[in-house]
Amino acid sequence: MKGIVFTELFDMVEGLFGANMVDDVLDDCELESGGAYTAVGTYDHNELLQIVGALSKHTDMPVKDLVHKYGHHLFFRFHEIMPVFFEKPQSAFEFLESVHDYIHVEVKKLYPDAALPHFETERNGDDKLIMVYKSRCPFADFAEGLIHGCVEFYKEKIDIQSEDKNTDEEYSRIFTLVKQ
Amino acid sequence: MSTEDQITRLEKRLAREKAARQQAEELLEEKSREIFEINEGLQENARLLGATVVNANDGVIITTADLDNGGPEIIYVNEAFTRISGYEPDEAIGKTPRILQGPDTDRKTLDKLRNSLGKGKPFKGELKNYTKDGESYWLDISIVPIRDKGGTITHFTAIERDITKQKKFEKELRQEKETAEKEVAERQRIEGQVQEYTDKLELMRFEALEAQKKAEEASEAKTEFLANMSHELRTPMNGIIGMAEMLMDSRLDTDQQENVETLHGSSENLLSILNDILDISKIEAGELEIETVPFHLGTAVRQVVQLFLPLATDKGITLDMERDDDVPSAVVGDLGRIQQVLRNLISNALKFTEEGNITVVLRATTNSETPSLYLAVEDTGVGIPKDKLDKIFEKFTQADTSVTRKFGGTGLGLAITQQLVELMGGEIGVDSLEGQGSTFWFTIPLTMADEASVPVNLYDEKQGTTDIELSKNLRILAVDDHPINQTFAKKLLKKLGFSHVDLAENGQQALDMIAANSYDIVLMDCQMPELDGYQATTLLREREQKTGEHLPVVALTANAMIGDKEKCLKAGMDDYLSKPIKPDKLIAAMKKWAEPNDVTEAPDIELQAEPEVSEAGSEIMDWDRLRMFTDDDPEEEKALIEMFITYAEESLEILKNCQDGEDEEWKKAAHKLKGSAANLGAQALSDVCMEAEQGFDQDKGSKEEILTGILASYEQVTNLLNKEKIGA
Ligand SMILES: Cc1cc2nc3c(=O)[nH]c(=O)nc-3n(C[C@H](O)[C@H](O)[C@H](O)COP(=O)(O)O)c2cc1C
Repeated sequence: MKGIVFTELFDMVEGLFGANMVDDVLDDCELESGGAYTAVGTYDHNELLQIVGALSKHTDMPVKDLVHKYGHHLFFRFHEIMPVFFEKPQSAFEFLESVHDYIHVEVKKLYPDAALPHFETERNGDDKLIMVYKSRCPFADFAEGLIHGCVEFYKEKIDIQSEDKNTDEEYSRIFTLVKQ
Repeated sequence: MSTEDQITRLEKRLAREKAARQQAEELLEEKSREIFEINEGLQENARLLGATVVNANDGVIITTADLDNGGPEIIYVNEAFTRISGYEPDEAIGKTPRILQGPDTDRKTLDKLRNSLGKGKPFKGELKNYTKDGESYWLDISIVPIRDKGGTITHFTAIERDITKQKKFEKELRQEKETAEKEVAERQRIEGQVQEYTDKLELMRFEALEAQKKAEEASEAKTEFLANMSHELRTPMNGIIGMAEMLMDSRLDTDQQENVETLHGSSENLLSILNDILDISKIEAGELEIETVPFHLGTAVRQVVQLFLPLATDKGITLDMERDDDVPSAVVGDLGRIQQVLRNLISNALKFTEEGNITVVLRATTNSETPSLYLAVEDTGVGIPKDKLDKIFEKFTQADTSVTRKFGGTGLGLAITQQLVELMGGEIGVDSLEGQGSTFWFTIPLTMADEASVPVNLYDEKQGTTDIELSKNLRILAVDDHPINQTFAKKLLKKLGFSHVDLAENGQQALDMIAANSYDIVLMDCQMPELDGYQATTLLREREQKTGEHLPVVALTANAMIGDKEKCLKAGMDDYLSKPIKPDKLIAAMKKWAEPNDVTEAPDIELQAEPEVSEAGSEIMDWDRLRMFTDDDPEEEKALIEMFITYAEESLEILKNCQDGEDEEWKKAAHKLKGSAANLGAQALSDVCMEAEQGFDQDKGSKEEILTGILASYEQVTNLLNKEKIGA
């Protein structure tokens, strides 16, 4: 897992709950990295799960909600940190469609060791987009947060339905986006 | 929270940030190193590639991807390019490669190039370009598009190789190959032709060989056939001639006499033709051998001349002989052949000479290294046209074909003559002037007889004995193995008036009889079983050596071969008569050789002195006449009668068919029956038949009348004959 996911999470937690919350959460966790993250580093994704778990305890919010909120937040942050990815796509569908073919390709160039989830899309007419999330990490909620962030970013009215299709080998969720 | 705690928290946070910064710095350092290393590698690659391109032997051009708008634009050229084209990089960069093209640059290739590159495909081909100085050169050019990550063509790279020398070499090679191929093709063509001709020639040769073989086989077969045939024919010919001569000597009317003479003449003619054919066959078959006997030359020539004297005298031509003094008298050679050649030439000269003279010239060349005899027959005859001269000795050739019609002859005479002369090692030739006459001459190598030898023809000097009167009591021994010949000889001698005739079957019997009886003359056949005529005579002569006696022996032989006479003479025989035996020749020979002890009366050989035949119709059959033929031999008589009846019946069949007017068939049948009836002695029948022959053009009624006469007469004859036959 890329370090940026940790640093951005801590930034959001600091903003919402104050710096002490970050310390409290880290105190609760047994982390290999010792809680020191840099955006360009790569860390075990289990550390993120521990952190989110500790955060849920301290904030009294469900993990699912927290992760979803973080995804939503991170999308807007991406726009600030990596504006190049936003040059071409003019709509939520276009952006989502570019994730697999473009963004992930570029990320791979910079971080050849990055383990990225599979993110296929399929257009069904102008108004419907089906996205399939596949990964060995249980971050479907995180992805759903990002998608919601995206739709909100482009200020579009889109209904998002999701359905889990997990197997023994991987986690999978199908998102069906329909324009309103 | 206490300040203490606060500080602890901040310190913790600081430591975390430090650790994160440290991590980041480490990562940064790591990445930097990676980037540096990668960069290093890239630079090395670029250096290697650059050096490769720069120093490549082939020209390298990199252009922009823009094919239109005056493009592509050259952005890089290597050193080899400058070397090949003469353009420095600064003169080329920014321009289009079209500056390299000229009048002979192939437009089609350029279109192909443009087409390939336009589709983003590589191009490879050959192009003619021009250096900066305008000199042309050939390029092997290979252009590939360069694409970016997105697949868009950004540049073109060309690698160009100067193939001018190679091209020239190729051209030379091609020309060489073409010439070589042409040469090969030409050679193959010629070889083909030669082969064709060879094949044709081979075929022709084969065909010619086949034809030659066939011709040779045919010729051989022909020669053999002719030799056999003429030999076979001679035997019956002898019979025909003998019988004709006997008929001629019998009582005949003028008509019959004429007919028989024609028959005799034709037979003689035929026999001489047969002899010619036999000669030429033997010569061609290589069976003819040349003999060498000592003989008297003058005598030999004189004999031949004498032979022709009567004929020449008849024609009013002078026939004489000219003989040089230095011609030796006794020589060695083939007497018979020399005489034959002379005979042929003289007879020929007589044929073609109407008036003037024929001279036989006899010369000798003794002082040269190769002594030779020269004999010539000069005539004052018609002569031979120039264009016919060189063909005169060829077979079946005569100066004028009308000659054949006029004089007859096989056309073999001169050919035989030439062959004979050549066989004797001599030469033959002719000089002639048309209208003036001809000289036929021949030479033969001259060999003198040694003094001790006796010329075989010396006895011929005994001339003029023909006058001696012959006694009818002459005791004669006729030796012949063949019963018919024995009969014939005895009959002939009896007819000539000699009654003391004994017969012997072979040489031994003859010797025995000679020892037991005394004879005046022996007529000796040559070919006989047990002891032949030659051997018998040789033995006889040996026997006589002791007693000093000399019994004349006259050879009788069917062998007409010239040279036989010499063989006979050699064996000790005194004379030679070839069959058929001619009565006059026989008489002549007997007159010449027989020296009877007591001369009584001359034999009555005047046939006219015999009693006249009775008037026509008075006699049915003349039995004497019939028996003269059959010599009282009942078997022979029977056979003759049967033969007569067969022929007569045939003729009668035709005669029975009587028609009005001229009837050639009828006439012929009558003629035939007339002849055979007369021969048999049925004179009455013959006479009626003559009447029929003459009345062949009368009406049916008259013919029927004659026919009745013929049939009546025939019946009388057959009645008699049948009685005779039964009686026999
Ligand atoms: C990389 C490159 C190298 C070329 N080199 C040559 C060259 O050496 N000689 C030449 O006659 N044409 C060369 N050409 C071809 C011409 O530039 C041009 O494409 C050709 O004449 C066909 O285009 P046109 O029909 O517009 O003339 C080259 C083209 C490319 C792209």
